[in-house]
Order: sequence, then structure tokens, then C-alpha cells
Amino acid sequence: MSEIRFEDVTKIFGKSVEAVKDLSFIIEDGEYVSLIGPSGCGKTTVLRLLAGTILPTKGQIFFNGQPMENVRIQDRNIGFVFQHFAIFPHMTVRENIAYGPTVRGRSKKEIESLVETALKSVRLGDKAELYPDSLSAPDWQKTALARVLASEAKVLLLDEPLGALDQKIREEFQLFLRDLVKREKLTAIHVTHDQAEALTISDRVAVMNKGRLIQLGTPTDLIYHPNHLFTSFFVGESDFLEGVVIDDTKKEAEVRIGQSIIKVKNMGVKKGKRAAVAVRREFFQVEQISTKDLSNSLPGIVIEDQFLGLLRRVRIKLENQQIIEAKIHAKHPIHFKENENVRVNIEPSITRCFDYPKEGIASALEM
Amino acid sequence: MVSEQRDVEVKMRRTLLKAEKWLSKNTVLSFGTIITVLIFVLIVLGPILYLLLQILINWKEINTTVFNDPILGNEAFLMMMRSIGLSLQVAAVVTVFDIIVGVPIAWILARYEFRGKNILDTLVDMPMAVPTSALGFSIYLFWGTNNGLSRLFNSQVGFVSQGTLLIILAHVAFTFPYVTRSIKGIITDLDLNLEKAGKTLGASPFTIARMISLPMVKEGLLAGTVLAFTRSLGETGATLIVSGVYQTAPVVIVSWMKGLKIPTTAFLALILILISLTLLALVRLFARKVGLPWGKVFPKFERKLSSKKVTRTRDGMALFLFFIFVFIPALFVIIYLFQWWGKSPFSGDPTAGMIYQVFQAPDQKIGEILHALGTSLEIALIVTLINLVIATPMALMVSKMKKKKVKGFLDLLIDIPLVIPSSALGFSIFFLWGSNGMHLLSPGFFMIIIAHVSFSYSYCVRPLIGSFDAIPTMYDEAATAFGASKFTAFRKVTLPFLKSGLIAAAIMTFTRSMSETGATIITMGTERTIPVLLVDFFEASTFPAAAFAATILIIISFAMLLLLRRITRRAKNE
Repeated sequence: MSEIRFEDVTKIFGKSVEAVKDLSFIIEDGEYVSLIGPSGCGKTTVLRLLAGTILPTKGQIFFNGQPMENVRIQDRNIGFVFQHFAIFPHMTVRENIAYGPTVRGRSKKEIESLVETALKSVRLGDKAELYPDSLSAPDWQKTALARVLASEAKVLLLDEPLGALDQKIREEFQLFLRDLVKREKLTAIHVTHDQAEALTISDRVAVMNKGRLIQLGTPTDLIYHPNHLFTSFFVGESDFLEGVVIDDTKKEAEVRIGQSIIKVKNMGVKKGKRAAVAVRREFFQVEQISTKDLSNSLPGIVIEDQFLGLLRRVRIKLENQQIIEAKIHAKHPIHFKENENVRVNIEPSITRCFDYPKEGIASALEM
Repeated sequence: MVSEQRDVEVKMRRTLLKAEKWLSKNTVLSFGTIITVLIFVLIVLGPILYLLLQILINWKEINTTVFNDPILGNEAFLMMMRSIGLSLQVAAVVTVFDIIVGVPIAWILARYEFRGKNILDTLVDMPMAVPTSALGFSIYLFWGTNNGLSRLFNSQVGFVSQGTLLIILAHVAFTFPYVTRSIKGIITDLDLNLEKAGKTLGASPFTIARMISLPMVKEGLLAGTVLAFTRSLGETGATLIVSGVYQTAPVVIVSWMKGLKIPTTAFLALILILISLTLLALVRLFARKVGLPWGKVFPKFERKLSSKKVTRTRDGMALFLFFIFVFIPALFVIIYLFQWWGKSPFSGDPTAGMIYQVFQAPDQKIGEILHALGTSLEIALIVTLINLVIATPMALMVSKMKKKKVKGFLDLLIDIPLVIPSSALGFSIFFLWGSNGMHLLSPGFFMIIIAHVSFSYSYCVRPLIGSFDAIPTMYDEAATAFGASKFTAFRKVTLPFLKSGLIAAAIMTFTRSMSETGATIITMGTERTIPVLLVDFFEASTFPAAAFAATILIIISFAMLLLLRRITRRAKNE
């Protein structure tokens, strides 16, 4: 049982550097949560607060309802996995794994069984007697994980744990890691700068910016139902269309963009106000104008159609002179020509409009 | 006019490039390698091997004088054994003390940030730069006379009389920096994540230091310990002053040499050299394999040891011991100099004061001091120049060496002068170059120079190897790719990188030569260097004059040290 709760946690470094501000959230027992956000957003600070290497300036952190204020690092029962693994170079794999129970004063028998179980769990049994310098990065990673398992940690803190691995191995490890956490019934908090990794591996993903929690939700939520402009900007790629809401019901809004009017989901924009309509580049549907007259669409002119591998990027200038990029599948049957007139179709159920930020889109999304 | 000048310049540059091209030929280069090795053998290995050879050849004579003297029987051998025993005991106690004080201080310097850290760092290095005879004299004044510590207690006699205890006190002062120095850098470079990992796994700071940090500084610690041990084993200058009737082995070498008992001196020198070499070889071979067999952990007890109270006490104790046993005694001579400036502080007699003794007395000590100082500077300068010339190719060779085994062996050989007693090394040089060997030199200025080149060789080669290792090979490769010959690439690309390394090596060599006593006494004939003059003054009981000479030496070496630190720090920042 390891439920983690942050209550209004603020951490200020030095006199005024707010690394995290007013963080409140709950991570359920057994959950796999990733933290993503631009560099300096405070995600590593959250990890350090959890580990206890730093203490909150304000607010409280609870493990299973217990405040962690006076609990030292050694006693928090956490397992930390470092980006560069921090394997003790002068110990064999087995000695590395045995370190946790040894320094906690376990009996020889207990240590032995913990180490064996951990070795089996990460499938490293055949390399137990080797020294780290004769192993490769994936095996270091496994050793680091086994070391944490043998220390009977219930909370796993992972700081860019796959950052030092090659792309191919990284993808394999994502599955391995998730499987391990679920099998061992751990609670995992995983910091990464790789969005795809976070979306693949996690039950829920926390998006952070400038020390604040922007959105904590399932991977599909973040993609299909972003509840903040920043989420749709940071997770994946989006274009922001500028318009004015001309009719608002509770859930839907009609937004005028240029000469056209489209229906989208409303995130609380009042009638008559300026709005930013966030559309994922993958969700734009581009159609030749001749096919049929589409409703909920915007007219535009193709600037270029570029091959990107699995996708194609179509750059389109809209009526209001704004340029958008649509990502369409490479196998899309039509190849768009320069200066061709097209319509960009917008799906109302997965497109959201937000209040247009006073300071302008660019500074609102500044990281 | 101008174009003519330019023509000349172009011509000269072309000639230079041509010359360098010739020098870069493989045959010339391998010839250079042979010369480099030859010089090394002649100056460092040769004397030792010759000593060994002569003892084997003349075993009969040695056997008679050492074991079966018609009058003394085996008294000479017994005395050797006594002196070696004393030396080993002293060195052992000193080394233990060095570790107890040196390791916490290294930790403090590597891990804590505090005001005055730079000053402490310099102070820790200081005893390495100050001539041991000056250091020994200062320590004797502090502990052994009624001017120092006993003055605080209004006692008429010294606190510690000459003998084993005073030898230990003196040796601690100049050996402990070797321990601190050899591990401070390693502690600074340790990956902090390893300690963090240990912490999250539940270990207390003490457990982490013991099981994670210490094993990683183990090799450096062992190397430093061996240096401290062999330095103590082989020291002459300070020991001459503080030993009294208790003679350590190097002191016996010096006194036998003065009595021209060549065969017995040769035998003792060889034994000392063999002991030091064995230690060096053992550490080189086994340092990596020695494990710390303490796998068991006592979490509660070790957590207690990690408490703030205990760590603060430990740090405080280490600093206290450093100040009371090293820093204050080492610099006490300056206070003494002021006490005895114009007159005796006890009787008020002006003729006992420093001013009269040095400047006004009929024997004109100031003339002697200035002459000895001149000789010392001259020797140190020449030795430094010679060593730079012969050490640079050696360092380059070792750094570029690809065969690991040969490299390791050369590396070991280079360290030899570092560990063997300088008086024994000086004696071997006397033996090889003097009337018993090649008969090229008699004791005097030039023999001193050869001896100094020999024992300061490692001090010059070591930092240069470091500098060569630090130069990225890509620059060299780039220069060669553009068509430069190896020599041109060296001059244009490598040398500028090497500048601060060369200066550092030069200062180290210079300071080492300035401060040597043991080897100088054996090879000097009628010449006097200033550390030796200090010993003479001490033996003639003219302490104020000795204090004057000691203070000059301390000031010079301190200036050298500051210079060295500035240069190495700048190099690091670049």
C-alpha cells in the first residue's frame, strides 16, 4: 500500500526561485505516473521532494496518509533509479543488489533470498557474479532495478531511467519496466523528457510547466481531451486558430474564424470573447475543394506537401492568413499541389477552444 | 628593406621546418627514444644497479667489514639493524597518524565549502614544499627547547627531548600532505550519485563512506600511504636535527659516509633501497586487489557514528591535530626569530641575538648564508633546466606508449626516485660517478647536480605525463593531417598546451632541489647548500643564525607554492 499525496507543496530555492508551486495531487497505490514538461518545469524537483533529498518550503507530502516531514531518506522505503544508473563499480552485480538489505542489517538468509528473487525478476541470474565494467547499459539498468527491488522499496522513483539507452532498446525497456512495476505491485513515478515514452508506459501523465501542475490525466485524456492550452501545445503538436465565440452553450461553442464558422468543444469561453481553438496537426482532415462541400471546415491554399516518412506535412494558408500544418498519413491517396484550394475539416468532438490569453499565445505558452 | 627582411624570415622558417622534418624521421625519433631511456638509466637506475653489482662483486670485503670486523665483530651489522628497525617503527607510527589526520582533512577540503578553504588547502601543502631541515629545526624549537611550548607552562626545559618521539613529530609534519594530496582529488571527482543511491537504499552516511567512497579512493590512499611511509623512512635533513643519539638508517648513512666507511655505507644504502622498492612494487601490483573485508553492517551503531555530533567532533579533531602537530610547530621558527631578533629573550644579551650573530659577529655568517643561498639557487636552476630537457621526451614516451605492460613497467621505474631514501640515492651516485666507479667526478658542485637531477626526476616527469595525457590527440592528428611533420606539430600544437604543465613541473623540481639535505651532504664535498648550512648552524648551536636561514627557506618555498597553485589553478580553469 503506497498512496502518495501532495498538499499545496511549494519549494523555493534560495530566496525567490520557485521550483514548484502549490502542487496538490494524489497518486494511487500501484499506479504508474510519468512527469513531463519542458526543462526547468520542476519535474525533477518533485522527484527530489519525494526522495527526501530536499524538503518542501510549504505544504506537506504524505505516503499512505503519513506526513513525510521528519522521515529521512533512508527510512522512506523508496527506490531511486538514476539516469546513469549509479551502479557501484567496485561491487559485483550480486553485491550491488545485496547492498540495500545489507545496510539495513538483514540476516544472511534474508539477503540471499531477496537477491535471488530480484535477480529472477529482472532476468539477470546468469550475470550475478560479474563486475559492472563487463556489462552493457541494459544490464546496468537491470542491476539498478534489481537493487531497488531487493531493498523492498514500494515506491519507485525513476529519473530519466531510459535516457542512457539506445532508441531500440529503450522501446523494449518501456514494456519491461511497466510489466515489472505491475508485477511487483509498486507505485512508480517516472520523470522523462520523452513524451512518447510517457504516453506508452504510464497509467497517468502529469504535465508540468513553470513549477505548476497543468494537467494530470490518462494518456488518451492528454491527447483527446486536453483541459489546458499548454497541454495541447506541449503534448504532441497543435495549431491554435484565432477566432471569436459567437454562440456558447455549456459544452459547445460556435467560433468564427475569418469568414467561416465552426463548432468545437467549449472550455468555458463566453459569448463575444476571443478564443484560441487548439487542433492537433494529426486531426486536421484536408480535402480537395471539389470533392464536396464540407461543413465545419475552413478554406485555405496549399503551400507545400512534404514527405516525412510515415507521415506527410501539408502546409496550408487559411483565409485569415494564418498558416497551419496538417499531418496526414503518407498513404493518403491525394497529393496536394502548390496553390491548390482546399478545405480543412475540423472534428468537433476532439477540438477544443480556450479563452484567448491576454498576453498573446506565444507568451502564454512560453516554457 | 622590408621585403628583404621578410625574405630572411621566410628562409629561416623554411630551414626550421626542414630541420623539424629531418628530426621527425623515424630513425631519428627512435634514436631519440634510445637516448631518453639511456639518460634515465644513467641517472636513476644506473647508480642503484652499480651499487648492487659492486656489493655482489666485493661480497668478501663487505662480509668482513659488516659481519666479521677484526675489532668490532658484527657491530656494524647490529647497528644497521637497530637503525633500520627504528626507521621502520617511526615510519609505521607516522603513517598511521598521517591517515588519521590526513583522510578527514582531505574529506573536508574536497566536500565542504567554507571561508578560508583555499588558505587551508595551501597550508596543508606547505610542509611538502618547505625544506625538511628548516621544518625539523622549527619543530625542534617548538617541542624540544624552552622557547616553544614549554614557555607557555613556564618550564625551563623542552617538552619533548630529542629522540624517537621528536622524530615522529617531525616526520608527521612533512609526510601527511602526501596522504591528503593523493586522495583529495579522487574524493572531489567521486560520482555523488553513487552516494545518493546508497542513501536511498537505506545506508547511513558512515556506511556509505565505508562501503562506497573509501573503496574507490583505496588505490590513491595506498599510493599516498606508501609515499608517506617511504618519505619518513628515507628522510635525512629534519632527522639529523631532531634525532639526538637515536640514529635512523639515513642518518647512519650520512655519518658513516662522513667517516668514509664506504663498504658498510654501501651495504646499508642497498638494504634501504631494496625495502623501499619492495614496498613500491607491492603496492603497484596489489593495490587493486586488496579488498576491505568488512561486509557486515551494524546499522544502528553506524547511524550513531553518522550523527552530526560525531562527524563534527571528527572534523574538529583532525583540524586541531593539524594545527597543533603540523602547522604551529612548522612555522614556530618565525616566532623564534622575532624572540631572538636583537637579544636573548632570557638573559637580554645582545651578542646572543640574531642581529649580532648573523651580521656583526667576526665569523661573518651573513656571507656564508648568502653564498650557500646562491649555491642552492644555482643548483636548483640548473637541475630544473636539465630535468625539463630530459623529462619531457620521457613523459611524452610514457604518455604515448601503447603497450600496456611496458607502460606500467616504465611508470613503476619512474617512481623509484620518489620512494628510495635520497641519502641512499646520493650515495649510489657518489659510488657510480666518483672514484669508486667511473671516476668522472669528485664530490662537489657537479656531483650535487647529478644527485639532485636523479631524485627530482620523478617530480618533473609525473606532472608532465599528466599534461600530455590531458591533451586531446585530435589536435595532433589534425596538425599532421595538414602536412606538419611530427616535430612541427609538437612545437605548434602540443607545446602551447603543455605550457602550464611545464611550469608546474619546473617549480616542483626547483622546490625539491632547494630543500634536499641527505643526498647533498653525501655528494657535496666542500660545497654548502642552504639546508645543509642550516644543519651545520644547528650542530654548532648557533640557533638564531639557523632560524634566520630557516625563515629564508620557508619564505622562498612558500612563494614557490603560491606560484605553483596559481599556475595549476589557471590551467584547470582554462
